[in-house]
This record gives sequence, C-alpha cells and structure tokens, in this order.
Amino acid sequence: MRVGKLKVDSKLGVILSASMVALAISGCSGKNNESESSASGTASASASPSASAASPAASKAADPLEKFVDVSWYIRKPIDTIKDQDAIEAEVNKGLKETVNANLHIHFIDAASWEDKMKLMSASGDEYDLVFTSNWTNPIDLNVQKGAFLPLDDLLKQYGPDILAKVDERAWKAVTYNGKIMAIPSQSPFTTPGGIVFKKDLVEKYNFDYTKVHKLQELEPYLETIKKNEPEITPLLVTKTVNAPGDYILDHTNITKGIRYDEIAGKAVMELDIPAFLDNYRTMSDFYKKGYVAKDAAIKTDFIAEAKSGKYAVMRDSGGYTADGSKSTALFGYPTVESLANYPTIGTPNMVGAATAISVTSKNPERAMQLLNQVWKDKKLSNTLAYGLEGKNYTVKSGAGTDSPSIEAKSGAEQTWAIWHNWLGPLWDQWDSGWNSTASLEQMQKNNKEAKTSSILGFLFNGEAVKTEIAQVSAVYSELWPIMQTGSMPDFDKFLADMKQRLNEAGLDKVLAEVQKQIDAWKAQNQ
Amino acid sequence: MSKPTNPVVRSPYIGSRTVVHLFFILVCFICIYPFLVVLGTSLQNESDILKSGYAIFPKQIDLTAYKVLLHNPGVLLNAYLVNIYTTALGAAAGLFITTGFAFAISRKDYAYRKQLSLYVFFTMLFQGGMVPSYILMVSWLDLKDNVLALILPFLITGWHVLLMKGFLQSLPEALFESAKIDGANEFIIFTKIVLPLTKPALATLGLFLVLQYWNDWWLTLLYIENENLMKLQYLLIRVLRNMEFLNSAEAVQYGLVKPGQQVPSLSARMAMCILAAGPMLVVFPFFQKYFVQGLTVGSVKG
Repeated sequence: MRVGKLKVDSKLGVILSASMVALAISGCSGKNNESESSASGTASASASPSASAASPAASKAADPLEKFVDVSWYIRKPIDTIKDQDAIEAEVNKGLKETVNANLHIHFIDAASWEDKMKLMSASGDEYDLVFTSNWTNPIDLNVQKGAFLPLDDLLKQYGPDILAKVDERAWKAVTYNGKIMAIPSQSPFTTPGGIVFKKDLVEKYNFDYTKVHKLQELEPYLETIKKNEPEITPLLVTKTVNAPGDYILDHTNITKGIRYDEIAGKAVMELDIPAFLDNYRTMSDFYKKGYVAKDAAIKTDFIAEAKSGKYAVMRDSGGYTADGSKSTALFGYPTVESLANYPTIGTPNMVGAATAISVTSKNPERAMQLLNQVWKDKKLSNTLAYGLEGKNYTVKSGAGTDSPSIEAKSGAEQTWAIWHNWLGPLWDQWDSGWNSTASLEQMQKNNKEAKTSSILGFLFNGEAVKTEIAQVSAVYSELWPIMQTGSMPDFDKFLADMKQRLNEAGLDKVLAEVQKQIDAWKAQNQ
Repeated sequence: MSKPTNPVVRSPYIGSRTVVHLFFILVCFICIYPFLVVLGTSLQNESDILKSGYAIFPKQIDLTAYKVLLHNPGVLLNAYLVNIYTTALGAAAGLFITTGFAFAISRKDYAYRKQLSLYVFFTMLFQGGMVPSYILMVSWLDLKDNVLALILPFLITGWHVLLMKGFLQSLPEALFESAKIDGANEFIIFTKIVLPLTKPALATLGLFLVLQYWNDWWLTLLYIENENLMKLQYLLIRVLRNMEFLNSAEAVQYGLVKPGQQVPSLSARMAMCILAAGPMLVVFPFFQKYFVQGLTVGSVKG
C-alpha cells in the first residue's frame, strides 16, 4: 500500500496538470454531479428513468414506493471467478420490482482495491447506497469517524421490521456509536470455539483418546509418544503468526495489545499479569525444551502451508461448528479429528464480523433500507443472491419447491458465483448445502445463545490519547511475542521479567490507565 | 603508421580481465538467481513446495499452476492487450503533449512563458492529494471504468516538462528564425525541425513513459471495476492480496474459507509472475540498447 501511496503522490501534479489540459482540450466546464454513481459497463440496469429531482436524502416522500429507483450495493468480491451476475440480478430484480419497486445492482470490488476504493468514494462524496462493512475490512469505526454512514435508527423503525425481528438483540450494541445505530449486524457465529486438531492416522495408530483433551497442558503424554516414535513428525505446530492449540484464557476480553478486560474482577489488566496466561506459556517453553516444537517455529510465518505439509501431529484451527474435524480436513487437505474447547466470551469485535451500512451519499436511503429488509425477509431472495441460479450455480438435491430445499452449490473451478450469506445478512435462512448444513447452522445459533457476552459489550477503546505508547508497545510485542508464543526462550522467567520491563518502558502502564479510565466513563454512561 | 610486426600480442591485462569477467559473471548470477527460483517454483508441484521449499530445479516438472491460470486465458490476454494499448497510446500522446508544452515555454518570444513555467513548477511542489484527483476523474470527468482513466493522469508530468524544456533550450533560436523566413509556421517548425533534432531526449522520455504506463496498477485500482479493462500488474496484485486474505485469521474465523474455494497456490503465484513478466523480459533487452543510447546521447548533448 505504501508503494501505491508514494506512487500516487508523485503523480498528483500530473493528474492536476493533465486534467487542466484535458479540461482545456475538451472545453469541459465540469459536469453537474448528476450522473449515476457508477458507469459500470456490466450493469444490467439501464439508467434510472426518474427525473433527477435533486431531493435531499432525508426528505420523506408521501409514497416512498412511487418512483422506480436504482440501488447500488458495494461488496468486497468474494471469489475471483464471479460471473453470471447479469442473469442473477435480472432474476432478483424481477421480484424486487414487485416488492420494493427498485433495481439492485451489486458492485463487486476486488479485495485488492476494495478498501482504497471505498475510502475514496466516501471522501469524494460518490453516491452509493448499501455497503459491506465490518471490524476487519472497510472498518466501521473509521467510516463512522469520517461520517460516511447514515444513522439508521429511524429508517429501521420505519422500513426494517424483518431486520429488527431477526438480528440478535445483543449485536446492536456493537454497532451503536454515540447512541446511533450505524450499521446492520449480520447473523454470524459470534463465537467460534478453538479446535485442537489431530492428524487422524497418528491418533488411530497410537490409540489416543483425543476427545478428553481440552487444554494445552493435557497434550503432553501424546506429544511425548509422537516424539519418541515418529522421527519424521514434529509433535506440535506453532508458528510466528498462530499460537498453539489450547492456550486459552477464560473470562478475559481483548481490549488492545497487551491489555485485556477481566470479566470476573471487572477491570482491565495486563496480559502478562494473568496467571492462567503465564501457565500456558511456561508450558510452551517446557514443550520447546523437550523438542515437541520445531526449532525454528518463531520464524515460520505461513501457518496454513505448514499445516498442509502434514508434518505435524497436533495443530490449531478455529474449530468447526460440529466436532467432526470436517472443517480442518477440508482446510488442511488430509483426514483430521478435533476436540473443541473453550467458547470465548463475545466481545464487541466478534459481533461485527459482517455488517451492512447505508452511505450518507445515498439518494434513496429509505428504499435501500426497504430493499435490505426484503433480503432479510425473503428466504428465496437471500439464497438466490448468495448461491446464484438453480441449474446454473447450484443443483437441488431434495425438497424442491419448498422454502428450504437442500442443495449442492458448484465449487472449485466450476464455481462462478458465491456470496457468503452473512455478508448479505440473514445467515440462519441459509439453505442446507455443502457450505453449511442445517445442523451446523443450528449449532452456531445454539453457541451464540449460550455464549457469554462481555460485560462491556459495545465499549470500544479509543487509543488516540496514548498513540505513541500503543505504537511502542506494539513494537515490543512484535519483537518478543513470537518467542513467547513458541516457547523458544532459554529461560522463561528471565524472559518474562525482561519483557515486562520492556513493556513498562514502552508505556503499557499508561495505556492500562487510559483503558481503565475509558471503561469507567463508559460504565457510568451505560448503567 | 606501420603495422605491428608480431602477430600475437599477449594482452598484459589477461589476469585482471579474468577477474573482471568473473566478477561480472557473479553479478549476473546474483541478478538471475531470484528469477530462476521463481521459474523453478512455478514448475514445482504444490506438495513439494510445502515439504521442501522453493527450488530452482523442481523434483518433478508439474504444469498444474500454468494449467490453472491458463484455464481462463481470456482475462490474462485481455490484460496484456490493455497494457499494450494504454502504453502505446499513453506514451505516444504523452510524448507529443509534453514536448509541445515544453517547446512553447522554452521559446523566449512567447508571452506567457514565465506564468506557464511557474504553473508547471507549482504542481511539482504542491499537490492536491488523492481525493481531489479522484473527484476530478470520477465526478467531473466521469471516467470511472473508462480506458481514458488509465491514460490521462500520466500524460503530462511537471518534471518531464522541465526535463524536455532544458533540452529544447539548447537548440539555437536562429534555426527557427530561418525556418520562419522560409515560410514555415510554428507547427511545421515543431514537427519538421524540433522533433527530429530532439530524438535522444524523446527516446529518454519515451522510456520513462513506457515504463510508467506498463508498470502502473494504481490507476486500475482506483478507477476500474470492469474486468475487461484491468491491467496485468493489477491482476498480479489481486492474486497476491487474495492469498494474503485467505491466509488471514479473519478469513478462517468468519468461515470465509470454505471447502472447494479455489485458493491460488504458491506455484500459481510464481507462474503468474512468469506469465506477466516473461514477455517483457524477452522483448526489453532488444529495445533497451536504443533507450540507453538515447540516454547517453542526451547527457552528452547537455
């Protein structure tokens, strides 16, 4: 990205002067900004026939469905091979014309340019309606800070009854900023258990009861067996980027680098002061000394590649929704079994893995909300958008004609269409398929219901006041953490003392004080 | 004078020459080595890479990566075409416009010389920033998803103009005077006299422009949504970033990496690299000598 920025900076003079020339050449005096927000050549939609009555966004028309409008929806491109868009949109728009008198066109933006493009579109006031947002891409915080999104409270009350009925009550807190709802959180698995994954053939060979293992410490006997009998296999996989399986700490919610919130004591604490946390890494250090971990674990970066190589006996994966190992089997490419452990506390970020917002530049926010409500309401519509067209992108296995058939979506090289259901919103309405079985969807919902939510759900730490300290703390972490995580230090206690000292010098105590201050203020406001 | 009589003259420098040659062979090897690794890896089979890492000599030749990429050659060929015509058009038009502008402000008998020079210079010092340029391109000129968006921004660059101006100022004014007396108008002077005389400088600037257009992916990123207008380098970046994303914790955490989803593989990455860079590597050395000549002549001339 840096490269790009540098590149472009040196080109700006160009763009300016070139455009002056271009302007001069074409005698163009700057068009009025009335054009469609996009001139995408692939659009199936013809230009909107509506007269360009420059109505302010907030105006409430007497009959909001009276005029036919175009609604654009910007989504990060899920797969590169996406095709068939025209056919699918044509199908969907037949229904949408009837229900909300609107025409939907989805703009798929490549992952490579998605964030920059959305930033620029918002900064330059480009018109667009619906947009995918989350805590990890096109981040909701930044967008809200910049004022790119429209507050949705009134629109939801008026036009979003089905959305309100289906969204998890608790999730609204995570998308509320200064008392205003800024996005619609999707139905998602808010908490995925950690999976301790075992290579199946080895477990069978040594007849090890893996289902009993729920903690890092309980792995020891098995690792020892492997170490003794399998010279070709490294017992435990841990890399610079991904920690060992089973090193969980219960009842703590991440706030910022090095600081967690202790749900039981009700205060922010430093990671390195949590006893359970230290136990885990003391164990890791012990494992390393005993040779259960690769000597160069702290400099291995490509976790997935290591896992796929099949040279490890025990690995980590964010667990599947059912403990049958199918998820890791698919990901790693050889038979695995897993033991699921630890459903973490749901924190604010977990609730915003996927969400949909409406842009402030939208000309028809009411209609955008109605359209989105339709997607949440109409099972067939959301599944068509997600899976594509029958016969073309999926085949029905059973239950044809009902509203919840079981289908087989084309995959691999044949796959030409896919949007994950929770990028659209209603995940629980997903038809049973190879993506998620009905059973796994039910499991996810059950997990969501049962999971504890953090007592400070909705709290977001603002690190502006201690920016330097945070940067310094991050620097210390990125230097020392890989060693800590892989246990590859000669003397654990010495290393720990050293790390603590370095972190204090970096100003972690200042960060802790600031976090605590903000939590107290937040609690006073919200209780 | 007189020819040397002894037929074989041992060069006294044979020892030092060998050292120099060896040194340059080594430098060559250092330059070529990474490329050989990329080539070797692109022919490796995926599981070999995972087991034993990248290699120059693959254990077994495996063309899967190329098959995967060329399974849909349309996109790649199309990107090539886009690259070729934007480069050709952009470089040609850019040369003409830049030289024309530079010629005008290099002439002492031009009234607005100072103001226009300042205008060019000013853009080199103060730049609007990314957002204004985006607004201009998208809202005012309505060039989103338009091939012109890939061409216009690089047409004229402040420092290119000043470079050209410097060169053109070395041409004698008297030349233009005499042409005028012979009845030539400004445009004829420019095309018939100035352009032929500035060939070295044109070659230099042409090289800059060609490289700039050929290697650009940033403009595609900003202004292009339509796959048929995407440039080659952008496709490469797309592959790389997708890999990054699919390996990221988020992708796994939110269940975005599904079984059956095509994750571009390590060898496919390298194969993409070869496919994108390969032809240029073959073509470029043949052209380069002209450019280098242009550069040196230009500098001597100055």
